[in-house]
Amino acid sequence: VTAPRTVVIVGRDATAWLAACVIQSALGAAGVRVSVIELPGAAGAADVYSTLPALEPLHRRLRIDEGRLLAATRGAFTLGMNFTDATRQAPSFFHAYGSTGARIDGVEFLPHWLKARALGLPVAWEDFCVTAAAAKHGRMLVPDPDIERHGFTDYGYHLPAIPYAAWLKQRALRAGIESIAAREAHALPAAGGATLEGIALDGDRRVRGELFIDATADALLMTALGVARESWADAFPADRLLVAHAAPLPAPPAYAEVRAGETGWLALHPSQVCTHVVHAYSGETRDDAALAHATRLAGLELHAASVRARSPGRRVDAWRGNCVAIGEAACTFDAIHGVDLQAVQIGLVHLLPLFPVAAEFEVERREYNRNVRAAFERIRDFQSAHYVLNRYGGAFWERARLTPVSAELLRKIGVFRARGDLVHYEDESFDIADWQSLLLGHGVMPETWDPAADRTSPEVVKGELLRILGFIRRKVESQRPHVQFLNR
Amino acid sequence: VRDYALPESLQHKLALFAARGHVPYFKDGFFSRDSWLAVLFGQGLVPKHYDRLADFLPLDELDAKLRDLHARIARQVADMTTHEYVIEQYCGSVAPRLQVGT
Repeated sequence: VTAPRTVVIVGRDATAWLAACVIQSALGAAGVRVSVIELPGAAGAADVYSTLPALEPLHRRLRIDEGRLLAATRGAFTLGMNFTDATRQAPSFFHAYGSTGARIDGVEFLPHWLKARALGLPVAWEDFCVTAAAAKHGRMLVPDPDIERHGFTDYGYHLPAIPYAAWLKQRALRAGIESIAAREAHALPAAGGATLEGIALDGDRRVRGELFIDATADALLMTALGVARESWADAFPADRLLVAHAAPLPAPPAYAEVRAGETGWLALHPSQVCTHVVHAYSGETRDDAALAHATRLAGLELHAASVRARSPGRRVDAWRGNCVAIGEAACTFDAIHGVDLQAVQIGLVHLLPLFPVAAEFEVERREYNRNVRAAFERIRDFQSAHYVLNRYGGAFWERARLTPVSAELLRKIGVFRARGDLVHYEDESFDIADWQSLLLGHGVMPETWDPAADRTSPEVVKGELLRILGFIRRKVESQRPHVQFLNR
Repeated sequence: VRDYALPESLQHKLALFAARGHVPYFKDGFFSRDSWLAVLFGQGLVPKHYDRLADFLPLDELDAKLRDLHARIARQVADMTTHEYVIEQYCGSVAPRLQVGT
């Protein structure tokens, strides 16, 4: 017995094909052969992947050309998410995929901003963020040396789910990945039940393999191996998702908007195809009432609305025996920050450097499970903070404020509230800048600041603040509108 | 000391290295991956297998790259001034000379 050479992926939609492309491109040269058992797709025309900036470098590794991808899928760019409140209790805030401000006198921007604010500065945190400013002015912004001298800017995409999966599949087939279409699949456990031997398909077909990837969302293979699920349902107030589409906006902005309503939230994700609408609510609201709420919150006519249950939680082991769960099969997140593909990516990039090199791979499995668990829990904490810190009106949000949080999150919020510092753990997907936007956006205002900021005189700080605002204004004015950028 | 019981985290680290030369990276770790490799290789540990991602590079290209890297290091080291010379330049006139045998 030697190291596994055949990888059998069972799944559907973008998860299965992204897994196939990544494993084939990284390990094809090592003699690993990938085949995909493709089950009928679950994504509908209204479904969209809202992605984080980390996807772009992964695409680049796969030699995916961004312009061609967006043309083929008719997707769009996103510079972040604008969180607004239709219940009129809390100010809106922008979570941008970029940094805010610049160091002053060698000291971080946040302590200077906190001090200036205490001295009466009336300018909001996000107004010092060039990424947020570009987004709100309908522009697209890409990294350049000017910006990188002081900080960074980045972007994600809104990718319509069906064309994105089709585009990945086409690439996978061109790369020589075998595709087997099946209406249904059943895992065939080996003697003893600890590993899988193969997959049984409809029509008495059998596919054998050495390493299996569960990309099924409902965790078909993991369930057959008896891997338990840890529910996070008590940490998240929404358990139903309504997905619909509305007419495309004439000038689609390069960001998503998330509106808080009395019974849940509604997100608008513009693409070139349409405006993708997602409404999350709790089962206490009837589905027809939810559709009415969604229509009102969106202020748009909704089409092809469909509802599905969504329950956050994690498999206790993402890798059991010779089967690795990727994406939703390993961990289902709350829908709010669009982290579904990030979960897929975490599963894959941790697998590659631990891919079995011998018949025995228990030590790799342990390392993998520990790392992806930590990565998943840190994302959960970020989402959890959005709910527990909210100041919105209505019973849904009131319940959200009382949801349990992890010890790690509690410590993070406590330290930030005390002095504006962020405890940054191993395996964080969201960076310091993301956490700052989130915590300040929800009104967690640090009580003190790093005294290193006191070395600089208020006059010098004031001059620097004006300089930064001037830089942002000029930078934004010189950027092309998002639509023009898409049609370049 | 060779018989001391090892903490679980170190046992795991050694097992990962023995299996495939993998050294986990910790953002908050004090010693870098290079330091760990120096210690582990220095104590004579040799991984049983290599990471299959390395097969990405054809063997002749890998061979050429390693030879080039090795040659460049040798060239750069040859071009450097000696440690003795640097010390002499920096503090030759002020540092007290070590007197031997007095």
